[in-house]
Amino acid sequence: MPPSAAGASTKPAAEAFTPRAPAEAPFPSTGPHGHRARLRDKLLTRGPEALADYELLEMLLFFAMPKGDTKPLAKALINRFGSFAEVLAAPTKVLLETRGLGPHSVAALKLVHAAALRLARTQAAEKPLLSNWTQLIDYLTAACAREPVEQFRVLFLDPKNQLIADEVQGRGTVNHTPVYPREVVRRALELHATALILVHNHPSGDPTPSRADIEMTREIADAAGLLGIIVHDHVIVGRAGWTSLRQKGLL
Amino acid sequence: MAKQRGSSEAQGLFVKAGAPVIPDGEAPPGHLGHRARLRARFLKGGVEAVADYELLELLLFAIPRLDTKPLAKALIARFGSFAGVLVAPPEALRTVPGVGEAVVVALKVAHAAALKLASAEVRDAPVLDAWGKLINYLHAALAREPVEHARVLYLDAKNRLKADEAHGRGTVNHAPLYPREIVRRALELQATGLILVHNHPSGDPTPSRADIELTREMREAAAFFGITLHDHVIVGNGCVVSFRQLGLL
Repeated sequence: MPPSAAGASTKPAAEAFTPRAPAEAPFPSTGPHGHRARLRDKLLTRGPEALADYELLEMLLFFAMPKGDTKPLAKALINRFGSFAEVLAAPTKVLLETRGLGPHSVAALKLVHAAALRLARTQAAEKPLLSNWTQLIDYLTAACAREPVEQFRVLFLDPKNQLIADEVQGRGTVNHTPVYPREVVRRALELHATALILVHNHPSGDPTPSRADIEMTREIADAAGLLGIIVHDHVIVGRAGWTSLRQKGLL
Repeated sequence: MAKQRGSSEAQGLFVKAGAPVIPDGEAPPGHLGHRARLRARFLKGGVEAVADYELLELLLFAIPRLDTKPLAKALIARFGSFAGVLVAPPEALRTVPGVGEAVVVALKVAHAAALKLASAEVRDAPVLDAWGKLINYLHAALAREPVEHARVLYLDAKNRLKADEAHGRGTVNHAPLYPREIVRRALELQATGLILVHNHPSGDPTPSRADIELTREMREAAAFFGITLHDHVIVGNGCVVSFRQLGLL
């Protein structure tokens, strides 16, 4: 059988394909442009696990080198000392004597050690504990100022009834404070709170809850309940004393 | 376009002859002098020689022409400590006046590198022999998380770490832990030992009844396949409990 003519094949010729150039070039340059920005994005959007050891080392070297490609240096350091951890653990004297590194970059490397130590250590949690009426009143007495204007505050608590945050929700005119249940609950979710205590003052001095106070409390309790957040109480502060809606059976 | 060469600090890797160990002599005056002095103090004396806010300043030196001291103090006031600032998520950091993207990146790089360092220290020796390092790593990774996370450490026959995997992310007081998935993964990895880990965002690592029951379930399921559940560690804030040490395993 004679060989087929040069160029012919047993398959049909592929259709001609002309790539269509995009209206705007997606890449500003085909060189290593934007490498630092890409590393930064990767770190911020995907977290530390998305970066290789040498990439993290590259980024640490950015601390000392405002411009330039730190990848060769990062890889050379890991080659020389054995691993990411060993680069960071190398004695300061040795690192300072390594060409390519100066006090600024060595300080950045040693800072990581310091950071790791701090993360492994305790942090005193100085959050006030608000598990009972006495603790709550002590806290509010210390924290509350006499406001001439009606002020609404929300205390956000964690599962152990420790105070995460104490935030003023709204300051209004004498008889009316705008408080939006949706905002209160959104903030509770943001803070990872599992319970709330509402507090507001009656500038008139009389801490008796108004019908509006009671209804608003129920609204917030209902909304919070949808998300597993409990409203422990709503405390009204007047010159004559305090009222607890829970103690009054109104919550 | 010519490839940009590194700054004068990056040239290659040969030992410099006659390099001073710590920069000596007159530091440049003023603002630059402050940076050089603090850096020198840190390099000489280590972490014990500097305050929390100074550690933070040293990190912020990555950003040129930034007045680091007030920003460092503001960050610590907001997040409680150097460690608190390190673990703060970018959205929270950006709410502090004076914090721009450069600051966020510097902090997150330091955080990521510290975690990688802590985890690297656990990889080499058999995990059960380096218990202190393991606890350091677990605490660094989980102690300040606002929600519960579960992790599983899979060990080989020599008790070296085969894999360290996030198992589930939960909410403020619950993390999902599924014995089925854990055993399946252990078999896949041919792991003969397990350590369960989770954190209590409240800071108190006392095991709940649910924690204890789940651990029992897990131990039985694993034992059926000859896999040993070595321990269940709960990470609180500044303290860690081990089920084995509590006699619960």
